Amino acid sequence: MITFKVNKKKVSVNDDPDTPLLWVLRDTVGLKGTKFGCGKAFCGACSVHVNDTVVRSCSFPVKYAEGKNITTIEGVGTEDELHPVQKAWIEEQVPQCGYCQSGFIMSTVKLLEHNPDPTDEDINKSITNLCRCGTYYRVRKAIHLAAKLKKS
Amino acid sequence: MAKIIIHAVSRRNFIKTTGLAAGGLLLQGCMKFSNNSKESELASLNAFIKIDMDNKVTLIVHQAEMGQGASTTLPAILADELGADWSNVLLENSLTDPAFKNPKYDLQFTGNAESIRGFHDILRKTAATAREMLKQAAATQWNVPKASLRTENSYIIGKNGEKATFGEFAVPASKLPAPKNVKLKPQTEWKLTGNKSLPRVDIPEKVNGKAVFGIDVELPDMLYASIEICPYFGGRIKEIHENGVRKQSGFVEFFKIPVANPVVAYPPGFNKQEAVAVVAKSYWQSRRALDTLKIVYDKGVNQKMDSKSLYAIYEKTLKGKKWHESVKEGTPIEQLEKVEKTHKAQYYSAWQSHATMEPMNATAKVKGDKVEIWAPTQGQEMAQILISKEFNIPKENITVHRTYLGGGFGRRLLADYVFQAVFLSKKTGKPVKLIWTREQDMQHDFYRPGTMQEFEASVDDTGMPIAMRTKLVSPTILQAVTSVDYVFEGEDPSFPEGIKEIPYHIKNRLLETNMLRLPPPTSVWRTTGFGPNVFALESFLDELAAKAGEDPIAYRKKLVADARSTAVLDLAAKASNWNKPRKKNQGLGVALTHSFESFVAQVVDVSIGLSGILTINKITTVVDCGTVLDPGIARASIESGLVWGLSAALNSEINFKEGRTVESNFNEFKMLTMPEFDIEIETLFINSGEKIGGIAESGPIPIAPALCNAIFDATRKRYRTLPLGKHGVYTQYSADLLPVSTHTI
Repeated sequence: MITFKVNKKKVSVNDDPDTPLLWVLRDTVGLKGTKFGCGKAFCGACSVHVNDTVVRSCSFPVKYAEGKNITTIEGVGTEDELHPVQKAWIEEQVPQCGYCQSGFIMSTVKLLEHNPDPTDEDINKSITNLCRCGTYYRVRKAIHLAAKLKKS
Repeated sequence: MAKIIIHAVSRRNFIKTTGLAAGGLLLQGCMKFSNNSKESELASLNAFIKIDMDNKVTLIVHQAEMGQGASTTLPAILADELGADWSNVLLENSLTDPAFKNPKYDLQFTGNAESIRGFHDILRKTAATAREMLKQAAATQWNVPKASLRTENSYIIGKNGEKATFGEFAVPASKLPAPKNVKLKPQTEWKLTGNKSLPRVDIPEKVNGKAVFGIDVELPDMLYASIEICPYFGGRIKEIHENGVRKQSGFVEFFKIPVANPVVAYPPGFNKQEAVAVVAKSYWQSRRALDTLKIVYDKGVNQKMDSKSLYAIYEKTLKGKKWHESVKEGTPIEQLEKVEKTHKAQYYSAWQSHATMEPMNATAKVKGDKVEIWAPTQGQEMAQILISKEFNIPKENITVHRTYLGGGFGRRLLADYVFQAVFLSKKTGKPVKLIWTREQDMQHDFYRPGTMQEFEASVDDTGMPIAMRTKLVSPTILQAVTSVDYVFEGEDPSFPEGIKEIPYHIKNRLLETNMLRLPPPTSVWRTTGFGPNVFALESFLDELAAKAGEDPIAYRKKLVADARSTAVLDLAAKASNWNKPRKKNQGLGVALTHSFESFVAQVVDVSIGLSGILTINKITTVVDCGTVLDPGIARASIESGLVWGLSAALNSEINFKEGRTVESNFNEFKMLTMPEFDIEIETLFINSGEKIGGIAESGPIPIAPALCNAIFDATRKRYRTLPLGKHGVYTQYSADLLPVSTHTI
């Protein structure tokens, strides 16, 4: 039994300890907003927060989640109040197919916590997620907008 | 805005929310029906429009939403013409129905940049017909002339204070005969489309994790499957050793999956790949169990095939004498022989993978002779046809639910993965969700084939072409998605696109083609034949302009056959500061395309650093697609295309070795990244009012030649084969990732 918190709720799972956190979140906990893209931590579609860090959950065995706080896309905002990053994403109409966007949003939320006013250069260094639709131009605009929304 | 996308149309197919451990709220939120009215009260005015007595208007989205905005613009067209209240309509994803077929192809599919241009008129007529039926029902009841009525915000309104909801007249209207020759609203009366950007209906659930893609489908009592397809093209599975697989936790069974015909009639030699699948109680358990199995392959007849040997086939074919005459205008051969001044060049575009972010997957439930499928598919009807043929089940017994697609780009027209899921459900008697790994997805794609072109032109004293001869060597592009045997016809309609009909007037022209048959499967990929062919044509024209000592835009303008080409070129020149003196190491390059009934001119502005590093300063794109229905969506589509086109131009390519694909994940198949797209872009639209053209596929077409032409302008070096990474041309970001710094231009 491995116990941890997902979006502030306590969760205990019986999965094999080596099961990637991604599949535990998706299939055991039932939160399907975190996506499977490459399975090798290259693309970032599976990005979640483990405590204060962005983790590519496809390559993170669930045993290391023991006692940790996990946040997924379902937990960054609430039904009534979206996270400023999500608001900025809607304002800039960022997603296209949308499959990689949870990962971009999770990476951005953490970037802004560590760096409230990132430059383009900072963004280039921290946001290395892949998007095949090519939403990068609007992702960049939305990150800058989210920084503004967070401050105000 | 209160739109709800419903992912399964029939109420009988409603998927129940399944509660699981851990107190987590489960998904399928998007599969709910928020419409509380009973089915019997829903009046169906036609296949696209249903109205209930509470005045809820339900519009059917019949094209796959794969990021191109179809689920917003298509129902907006309907709502506009109907006079429906956009803030209150419900949207449903379609099943298959003859009404949803693209009449040009007699098939229900999403692709070829057809969603808008193929259905704009059809949807307007459909909605106008429904509107007139509602008005007629009200006119009869109120005893007023129908012409005195109008519709607005889901109300029927008369001149003397009459007012009723659509809902009040929906049932009587649905019983009226559909009028013919209804009058369509002029553009001046469009409120939702025509230069208005609507917030996309799919975006809210794409930022909170609730959007349901194929991979997210859950059914009660469902099993999960992983697959390993024979990696050798034309190889077979020789032996499967259990290796203790039955002891693996969650293991249910493994199966050898026979060969499926991806579509209806597929010529021999293509994707006849056997596979092994493991079914287990959870997805990860199926992966672990599959890893346990030891599978021995017979590598088959193509085991010596590699990228080099394939390239040699292209070159040998190009030098050969076997040609299919595709275009002959004037007397090209005589003109080429007569004139001394000729120029000849050879181009090559590499093999490419679709690499959708969502790997191939499908969920199937087989019960007796009834099949139900949930899939992220562009080819809803193709899947139905394939399953019907392979399992000998009547087409009407096969229900295909379309979820959101995590990218399509042509790959999801095919139904190979649907076949596998259905096979496994039939074998196990349970619903099965099959998910491919990224490695399977990349190694078993239907690739955009490598394509070789040779151009030869004779020019007059001013350097303008008198005759042009083009040779095209490429495998088929369209075969996998159609039932016509193009191999015997000499060419498919897609593979000569961009050089068969050209936007330039050249009197004497010859196009000869040779459609290769090679072991790796090939199919349509965003830009279809246009991508590689326009790269060759636009590079060659640039070479001719340089030979003539002419400005590349001025040279093209002398040759273009119509005013729309001139207009996009002129605006691109202006917006890109084409005529401004260039800095040292700066270069501007242009390319033009007439594709999918749209005209696009693009200018790429580059600098080449001292160490040879490529910096793209700005990309200017000018599009004339007739009429822009939604500028926000159109702009996003063009931006998307830039990234798509640049990936293929700069770094990504598929290679082969020992009869199989080399690349298996994103570390090897290098797509453009966020840091590399820190580029100024300007996208301009010309509303010429001409017939609506497609843009999703047109945007990425000119980028590769415009980029290579810009590099030539800066360095006088001409690159005729893609991707540029092969020549050591890198952006700073890519160069930093190289093990050794050998990058120079």
